[in-house]
Amino acid sequence: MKKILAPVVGTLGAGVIILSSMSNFAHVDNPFSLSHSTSSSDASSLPEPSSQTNAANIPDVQTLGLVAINYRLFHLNQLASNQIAFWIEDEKGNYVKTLRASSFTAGGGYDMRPESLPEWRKASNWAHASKTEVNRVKLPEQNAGVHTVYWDCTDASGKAVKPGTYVYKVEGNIYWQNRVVFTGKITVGKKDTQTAAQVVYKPAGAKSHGVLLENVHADFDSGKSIASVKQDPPTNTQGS
Amino acid sequence: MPEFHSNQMNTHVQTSGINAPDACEVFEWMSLVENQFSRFLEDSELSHVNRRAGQITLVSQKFAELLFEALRFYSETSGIFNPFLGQLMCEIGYDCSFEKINYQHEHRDKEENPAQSANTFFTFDLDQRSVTLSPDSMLDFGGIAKGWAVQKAVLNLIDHGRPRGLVNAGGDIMCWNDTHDRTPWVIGVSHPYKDDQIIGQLAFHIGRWGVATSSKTKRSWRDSGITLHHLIDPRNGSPSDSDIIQATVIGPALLPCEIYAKCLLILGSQDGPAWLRAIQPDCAYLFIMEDGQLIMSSNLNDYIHEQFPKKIILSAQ
Repeated sequence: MKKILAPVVGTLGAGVIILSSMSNFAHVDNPFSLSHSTSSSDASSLPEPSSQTNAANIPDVQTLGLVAINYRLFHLNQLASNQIAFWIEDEKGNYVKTLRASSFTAGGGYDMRPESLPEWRKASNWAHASKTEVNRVKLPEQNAGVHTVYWDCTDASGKAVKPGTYVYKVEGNIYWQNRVVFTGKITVGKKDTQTAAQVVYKPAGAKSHGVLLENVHADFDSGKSIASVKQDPPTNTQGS
Repeated sequence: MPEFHSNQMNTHVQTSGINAPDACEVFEWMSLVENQFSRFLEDSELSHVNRRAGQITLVSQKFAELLFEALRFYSETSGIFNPFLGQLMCEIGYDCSFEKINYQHEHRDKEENPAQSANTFFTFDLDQRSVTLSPDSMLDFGGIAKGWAVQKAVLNLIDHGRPRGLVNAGGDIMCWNDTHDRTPWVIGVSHPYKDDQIIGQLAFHIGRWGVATSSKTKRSWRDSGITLHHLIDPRNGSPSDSDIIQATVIGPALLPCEIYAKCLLILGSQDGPAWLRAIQPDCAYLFIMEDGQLIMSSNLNDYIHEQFPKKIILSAQ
């Protein structure tokens, strides 16, 4: 019979495992690890891939192409500022999808600060967003500089949108309720297009509190895939 | 690049580069692991084993597998990683799911001093697949189950021919890239007090990689005016007071990285690096010290995508 005896002394100070019938315990194979199966029945239900290419692992959503929304971000060293959100509406003003939003507001910070990104929250009905949606769009703090956020021409449910003209919007909090909103139209279809967004400060004097965003413009690249672009890292390692 | 998100094991789980059915499989597996190994769920197998302390208890194959891994690291780390701390964790107040701790502490009877565990024993019969815990001890897989679950999920996907992907469970990350796709995985290392702020970036090209970070600033709570955290130094039974506040470890698999990150944080910057070199020289590490200085192993340069500062400002604000 193989047994492992582990004396635990005091507040676990001994840290010694006495082994019976086993040597080099730290380097032996785990006798209970028959495979890397992760199913409850020990028989994984994962299907075999149809090919060895990466494309086999990307959902087959045939999209029109890729919209790159470019912007220059500044950092404002003042209270209740630096919150931004990017979203898409159709030409009639119907909400399509949120691309990214600052994590404080997206994660519920608007309960503490109702001035945070009100236009985006109203358009997206964000108070009723699912946890999955919140986690998808949360935008980590970005350094000042030129950045790009991408729209893969899908809606909030992941379905490809129809060809047509869409509105991209960017809202930013400059100082408490003082905001800047950029709005631009972009046509997605078979042709590549480029547009620049128009800026509105809300209220009109908001600009006197600082510039948060400028030079917001979008490029549509017909047929381009989201998988082909380099984005800001989607993943952080943090203490747990 | 598709991403899928879920909340499992009291943490945020994210997949990248794998399809929706595979992501569902990962999430279901993580849920299964939580239900089987949580110390805070009465119906879990771990709770069953702990309740039967002092008696011979038959365990499932998965339980035996994870227990074996825990004992392997207990042995390899000379007890710095210790799965027998369940009772001690309860005694210092980590006796419920973390988000409930501060509330519970306002409403519980205080113990003057946590009881010290008496001399005790533990038996794991491999043939019978049974466990006998001494009456005054409890197993706790909190420091290993998440990394083990992610690593198994990833190895299962690799076994099934998935060429590229990433699974992130609350900062414990495993990613892989085969030779068909040379786009690197880029992973940011978060500020100890601000998860949204990245202090530098790592990039991983062809191969399999585990990245784990352990921090004293997470899962900490206040009891009777004293700040406590979940990283217990088994040499004295108290929350670690080493000079490191956050440790990140990078290696070819996640589970060892998760274990070593905790051990390094406990051992501190004086003893930790030599200790890690002795048992696993291929692993790279990054420490954030109490004064904000960064210390990194020379082999971390192999992974740096965006340079790290020499020092960061530590502020919870």
